[in-house]
Amino acid sequence: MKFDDDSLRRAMARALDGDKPAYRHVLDLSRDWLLAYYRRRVPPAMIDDLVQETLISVHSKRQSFDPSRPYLPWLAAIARYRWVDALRRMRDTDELHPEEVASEEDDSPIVARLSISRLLSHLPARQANVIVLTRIEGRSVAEAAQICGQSENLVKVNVHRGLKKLAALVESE
Amino acid sequence: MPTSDDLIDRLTADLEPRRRVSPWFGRAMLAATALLTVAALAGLFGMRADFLGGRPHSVPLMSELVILSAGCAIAAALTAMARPAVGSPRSGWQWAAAALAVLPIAAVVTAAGSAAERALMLPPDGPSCLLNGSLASVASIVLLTLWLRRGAPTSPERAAWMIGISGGAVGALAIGFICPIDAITHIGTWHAGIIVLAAVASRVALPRFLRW
Repeated sequence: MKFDDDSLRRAMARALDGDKPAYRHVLDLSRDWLLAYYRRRVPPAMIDDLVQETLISVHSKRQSFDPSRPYLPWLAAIARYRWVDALRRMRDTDELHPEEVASEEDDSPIVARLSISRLLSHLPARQANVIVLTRIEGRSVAEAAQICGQSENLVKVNVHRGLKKLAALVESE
Repeated sequence: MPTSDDLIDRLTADLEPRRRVSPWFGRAMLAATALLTVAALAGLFGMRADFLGGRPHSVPLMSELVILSAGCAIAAALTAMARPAVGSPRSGWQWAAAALAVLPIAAVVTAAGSAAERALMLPPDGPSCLLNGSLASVASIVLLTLWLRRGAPTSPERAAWMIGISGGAVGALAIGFICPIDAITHIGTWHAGIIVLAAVASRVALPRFLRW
């Protein structure tokens, strides 16, 4: 799908003045853009939630849009912020489960996996390996410890530090 | 969670006109706060005679200009953060912050060659500058934090550093107008210390208020 930034920018400028049809148009197209954006970055199980969280952020922070500048870079900045936020939440939760990653029939898991692999290549192997095992393949900490030859505590520390670095990497990109 | 169609219906129904965030408004508010801070300190403690008479001594003048120019650059970058966009350059503020290091570096170099200068890096004169300058920073820090919360800073940690440096620069600038000591060893230690203290305190305390 093609996104005409100039028409989005003009529609968002009208939305800031209270034009509801223009706003609906912006949100509809933003949703489509966000679906494509997150499909390349996160597993399918997370996409819907992230799209909706980002749309809510677009709504609550719409006053930060500058109508003299393009719309999509602004939307991308908000989407990236929500993505970083999701990565940070992953440090403390088990949001990625293998059955969810594998449940979709399209190629999103592969694309998401490739994108995550690209990011993981910036981490030391000891951190990248335990993140893949525990957060992408869904293995337990004990299993990851056994596979990697690290203690369980060290696995937890490496997952935490690795996800923190990933969040910082995404933020700085 | 409802479907995204439901959400879009709800957000559209909720739409009301909203005043846009303007970096220039933030800069103007900071400038006004800085002027009020300088005026308040000058009123409380009295302004330096050389500044008041329009014949400032060279070291304090240079120091004030360094703090003012670097502070303005960082405040400009900070207020621009209220309107995020992927692809905008973001490293300029670090160069401005590095320029502030001129003051402590000059202090250390000067102190290395003179015991008398070195003595000015120690109490009793410095702590009062540090304390008053830090207190003078608070208004700018609070104002910048409240203002930036209306925008969408995408790196709360970086924003917190920048708020602290900008606010600290206001405090250091204000203290420079009343402190009677000309020595770079004093200015580079205690006046620059205001900025360091404000930056570290802001980095620790502010990110939670800047997340959205």
